[in-house]
Amino acid sequence: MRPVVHAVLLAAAFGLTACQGGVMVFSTPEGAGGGGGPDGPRETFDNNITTPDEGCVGIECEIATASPTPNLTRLTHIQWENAARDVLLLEERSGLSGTFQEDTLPPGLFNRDSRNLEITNLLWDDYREAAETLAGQVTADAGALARIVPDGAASEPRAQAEAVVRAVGKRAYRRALTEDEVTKHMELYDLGGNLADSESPHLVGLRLAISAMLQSPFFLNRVELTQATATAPERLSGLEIASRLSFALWDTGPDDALLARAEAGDLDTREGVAAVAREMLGDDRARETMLGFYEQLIQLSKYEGLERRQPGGPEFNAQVGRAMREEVERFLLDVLVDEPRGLRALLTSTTGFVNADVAPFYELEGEFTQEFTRVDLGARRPGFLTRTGPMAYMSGEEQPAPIKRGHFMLVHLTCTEVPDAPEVLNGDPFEGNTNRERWEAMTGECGAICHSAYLNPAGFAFENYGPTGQWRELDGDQVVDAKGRFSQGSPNEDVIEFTDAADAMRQLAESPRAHACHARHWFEYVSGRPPGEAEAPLLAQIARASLDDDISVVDAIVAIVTSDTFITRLAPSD
Amino acid sequence: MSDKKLMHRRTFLRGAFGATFALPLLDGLAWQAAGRPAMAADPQSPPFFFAVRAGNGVQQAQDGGGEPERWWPAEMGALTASMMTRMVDGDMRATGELAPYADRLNFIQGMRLMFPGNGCGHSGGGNQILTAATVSQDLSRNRSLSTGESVDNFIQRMLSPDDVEPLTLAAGKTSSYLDEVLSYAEPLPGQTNGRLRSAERNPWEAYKSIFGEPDSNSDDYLYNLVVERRKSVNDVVRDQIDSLKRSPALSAADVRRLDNHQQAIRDLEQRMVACHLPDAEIGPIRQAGDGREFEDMSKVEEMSQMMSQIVALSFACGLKHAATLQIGNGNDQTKYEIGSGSQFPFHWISHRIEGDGGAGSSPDIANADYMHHLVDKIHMAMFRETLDCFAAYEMADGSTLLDQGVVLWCNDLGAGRSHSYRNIPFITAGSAAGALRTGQHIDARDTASAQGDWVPHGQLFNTIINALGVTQADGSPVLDFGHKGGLGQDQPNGGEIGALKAG
Repeated sequence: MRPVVHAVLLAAAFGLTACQGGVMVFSTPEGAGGGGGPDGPRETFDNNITTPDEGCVGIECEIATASPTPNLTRLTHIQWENAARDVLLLEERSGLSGTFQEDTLPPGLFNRDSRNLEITNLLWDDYREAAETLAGQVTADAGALARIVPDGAASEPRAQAEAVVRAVGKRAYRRALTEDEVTKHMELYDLGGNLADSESPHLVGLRLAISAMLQSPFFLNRVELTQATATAPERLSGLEIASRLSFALWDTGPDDALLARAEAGDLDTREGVAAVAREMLGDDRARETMLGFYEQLIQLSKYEGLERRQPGGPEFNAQVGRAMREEVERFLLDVLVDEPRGLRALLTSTTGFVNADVAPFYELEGEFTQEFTRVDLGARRPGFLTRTGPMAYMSGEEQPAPIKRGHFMLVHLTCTEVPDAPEVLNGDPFEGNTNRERWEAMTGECGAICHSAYLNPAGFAFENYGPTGQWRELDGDQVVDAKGRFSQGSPNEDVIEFTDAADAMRQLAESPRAHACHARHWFEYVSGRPPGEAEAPLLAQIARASLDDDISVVDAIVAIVTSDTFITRLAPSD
Repeated sequence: MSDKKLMHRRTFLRGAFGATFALPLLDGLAWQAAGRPAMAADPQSPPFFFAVRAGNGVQQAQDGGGEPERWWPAEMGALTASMMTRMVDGDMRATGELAPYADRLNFIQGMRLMFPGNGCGHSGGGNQILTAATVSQDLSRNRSLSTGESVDNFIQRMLSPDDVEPLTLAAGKTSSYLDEVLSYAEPLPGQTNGRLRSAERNPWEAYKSIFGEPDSNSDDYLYNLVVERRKSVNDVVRDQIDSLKRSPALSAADVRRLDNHQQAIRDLEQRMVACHLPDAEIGPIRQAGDGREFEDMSKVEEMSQMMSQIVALSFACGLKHAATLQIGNGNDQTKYEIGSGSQFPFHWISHRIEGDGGAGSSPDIANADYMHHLVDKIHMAMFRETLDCFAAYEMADGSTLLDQGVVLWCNDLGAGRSHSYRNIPFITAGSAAGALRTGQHIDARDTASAQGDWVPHGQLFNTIINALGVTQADGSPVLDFGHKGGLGQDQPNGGEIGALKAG
């Protein structure tokens, strides 16, 4: 009997609009009044690329525009986790955010989307409990307590408590506490002592003061109080820029050193911001943030839970899944941080990092241990997407899932809008000699517009990668056909005609649309919001620099964080 | 337990910051020796609305086919215990059960439901009783729905935009024919029917959903110690939020975010701090849930009282502003213990026959009208216990929680025998902090805009809504709650019932 495909998951589209239009418009940020002017939304990613280079050309240009942003941006759960660790100088993350009420799916691509971050009743309950727990742990552990007592603090309990309040408070609120705030926290310390019962008044007082700081709106939110209007952007204070930078690049609040630099005026100039940002991007904390971008794109943490089988291939198990994750992470960090490069390398570099677990899936010759070794994976494996982990993730148990793969390539690499599958088909399985034929038979009955022009061919490019990511020449007894052509955006526009995935990756690396999409994603991730119209020139500039000058991701990020849209604030129009 | 004394809350705050804080309502709560909370005077004491509904009509003379009047007080005018308890054929009239509350009640005659049902009188009555809106055209019989929202929904969402869900409770066993009839969320855009809410019948689940499970592991002293610590932290956080909100840089959206944060603190504080019934009252509520007693129709009176306790506490804590309690299912089939050996379902008794059909379709029940009267007395006794729950919360100025809002008793039919929509029995309790006159037995037709021979009952809701200080979105008074015309029905006369308004 020939293998069959059950029609259970189709990113098919019956409606034509999004697929035909196929362009991502800029969002209208909160309070912007929206709509893109009298003619409605007008900017597209094509425009981003093709916008004439007016005036200053190049990544160093200053573009004085900004979109409205809120005064308060609630921390994501991972930011809370990191910030709590760093405020209290814990040796590791507490893990308490694992019990927090989960945020709903973000309206944008990343969970940093500020539009999605609210403090609900349930979450407040979680915050309160976590704050009490952490404050209790720190005050119950002499070593932990000693870490938060600043050097040179007095030994007399109350004086020492005030020193702790000032030091911890500064990290928690990302600025020095006002004297009034110090007074109120010390009153809390004193009252805690009164309510100590049989416990140490000093410790109970400290516990209350610390607990209050971790429940403060100044800790739970990134707060910007620079007075701005809806028409004229205002430059943020150095401390506010420090917080923006820190949460954007480190996923945590600024440390003492960064706060000190802000207070010293190091962030008062664009050049200063650029210098500090580059230093921060070289810090280990940035590596995790960089990977966080890809975690949300290609779900690195899910590889070890996959169940995949490829006939005749090596066994896939959780240990292999973990190795595949680490392999991709090492590759990404190599390109992003260690030898900073840009989108071309992300899509075309064949450098790999393999160990004994993952090497068999690449059919590499030689001896491998559990240590990862740098290798050249060859022409079949350009860029991150063709690695075993992402390919296995975008597969079914026993066959590749071309629709998932095509959907990823279109949506995340070219920012082509593809609607969600309008419905799930359940019915008779579809027959065919190959996986490709079966999917073609199935998708031919519905949503052919999207599937034929976009999803299917984009996905079929990867048919040489089996369900475990291992290369395959044959699908059953048939030679794999990975040829095709797909459109980016509107039908028959920005067409990429390819012979296989490697060819498609090479062409994507030269696609203006792919570079524009890449710039957009990084802007959204760094800024915690999708770009507005005001950012179109900035993104066009970054995209062109990426395409023409092959700038690195680090350079692109620095361009974002030194732009007016990052270092100034425009108030929403209420 | 430790004999250590805790600092009094207000002293504590004054000592802390040298200023008196605008505290949420519960900050003034303190448990009295009797185990009941006393409420410190608070100018922002929240208004509330609670509707208790019974079904099958009452035993009254209007549309009663010659039956004596055993329900309404004996005379119109200023209400006295005497006119409420006056004997009829050797037995006290039903509303005599409420005599202790005579000065805080209004009995309102002369009102009717304005719209026909759609194939089921019980369902149609339930559709209208709190909505004053027409019955659905597309859904009929026992599946009919209201086309509008109910007054509890309106009051809750207007008083608490961040928590638009009123409490929707029921006492008594469900039936497969017609269960909830009472509380409706407004229709969704583009839809014509309101959204009927399911009611919580398990009092323990209702309790936990509002107040959380009480902490039974610590003694009172330690619990209060934790509470005091938490509240002192919250005060600092609240102060920071207030200071942030005063910042001129803040956008409206950010103020809303902070409001949400502040509301979350308040809700949590109230749940964790003071909003629990005394253990002696929690125990039976827990048992009613764990033992599935709420499914036992013979326990309907106990369930009604428990639900009333929960509602009163939720209002006292400011956690809710509106609630409903449905007694029995839509055509109440409860077999009440009326002491005559009867095991007839109440619905049969209301029809005066041994069946659910119309007159003549089954054998008559002897003395059914008297049996109905006995059920009415049970309902009135249950309502008295409801009022007891509200009166138990004493305010510092000597008033009680009952005086701060309106508790309504209604039936979604008029007379039991005819199942008519005329002279619907309405009782209000409470003055809405002085906005309503109380202690009256009135005929709405004397001081309201009648339509035909009756006053549209939506006018009672207009009066209550305005008395509670709830307005339309533009700040104007509500004068036309309910049906707004259309669907083949004229819009009933709007306005208020003048005799109920103070001043």
